[in-house]
Amino acid sequence: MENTNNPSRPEDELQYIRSIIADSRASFVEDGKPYVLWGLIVAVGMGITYISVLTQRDLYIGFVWMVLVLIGWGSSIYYLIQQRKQTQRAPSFLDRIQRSIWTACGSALGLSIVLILVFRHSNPAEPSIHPFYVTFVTSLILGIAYYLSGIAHDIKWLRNIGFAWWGGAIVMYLWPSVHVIGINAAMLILFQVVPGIVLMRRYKRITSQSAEA
Amino acid sequence: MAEQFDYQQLDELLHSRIRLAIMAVLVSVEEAEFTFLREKTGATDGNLSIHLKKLEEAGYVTARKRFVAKKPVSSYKLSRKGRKALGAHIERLGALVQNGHL
Repeated sequence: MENTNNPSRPEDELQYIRSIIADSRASFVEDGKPYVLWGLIVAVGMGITYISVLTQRDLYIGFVWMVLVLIGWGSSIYYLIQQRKQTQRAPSFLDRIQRSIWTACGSALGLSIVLILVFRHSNPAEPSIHPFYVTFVTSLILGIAYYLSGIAHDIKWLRNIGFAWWGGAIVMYLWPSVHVIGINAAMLILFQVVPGIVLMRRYKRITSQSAEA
Repeated sequence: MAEQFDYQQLDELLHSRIRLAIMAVLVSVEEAEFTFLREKTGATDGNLSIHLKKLEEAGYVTARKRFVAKKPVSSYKLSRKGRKALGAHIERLGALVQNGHL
């Protein structure tokens, strides 16, 4: 038997349409987990590197970074597999845009880090980029990722974090020193981990509201 | 008691809450699998199939069937006609609200 279940008033029907759309969109709200994960991983790595450089002590930096990156990639692959199960059921344009932004910026981040830190001596005829500038380049790229993510999700404060990263990039470019490593670690906590936590709380709030509705 | 409005002014197909819910879900995604629609509309398999068939016959949604890990999976997408119909339906409802249900 067909269940038409007509609403009594057009206001109710409009409200019903709005609630269904909001509930569907709740499935694509940014959950903030990758922000917190990578923010913590890189901040810990940067923090240990900074202490090692300041104290002139060998803290097995290479090994520490290798372990941290492996943890990051392992967790990211698990997260992406879980996410894929959801997005395959109902792909959305917003989800595609978000993935494209972070894939493009993540690739640029990885390339810039490898090229500046690992292959910087590949061409001895040319002056190499000083490793201090790696934080300047990565901050510029993170600024782009945050700015575009904020626009895509229509979250103003997330977009404005892009400006914070660009501001930090200017500081690190103008005053290159060993302290850019510490500044970068602090920026990762402030402008990556904290926004990630805020996004996680927002995700919980929106999904619980949608479940109640 | 709440004032009733004239349903004849609205799209006959979108009178049904389930069909309206299906359309509202599909407008917010590129396409959706049957199980996703079932979860979001709260309909039973049989009921959802009947309403999807009606929307498909009206040209409001298009269906795509494929096999994933040897299991049949049906996905549905809002057609241009369906998008237009839902837009017109929402506009008409908005007008009814503004004009005090006429």
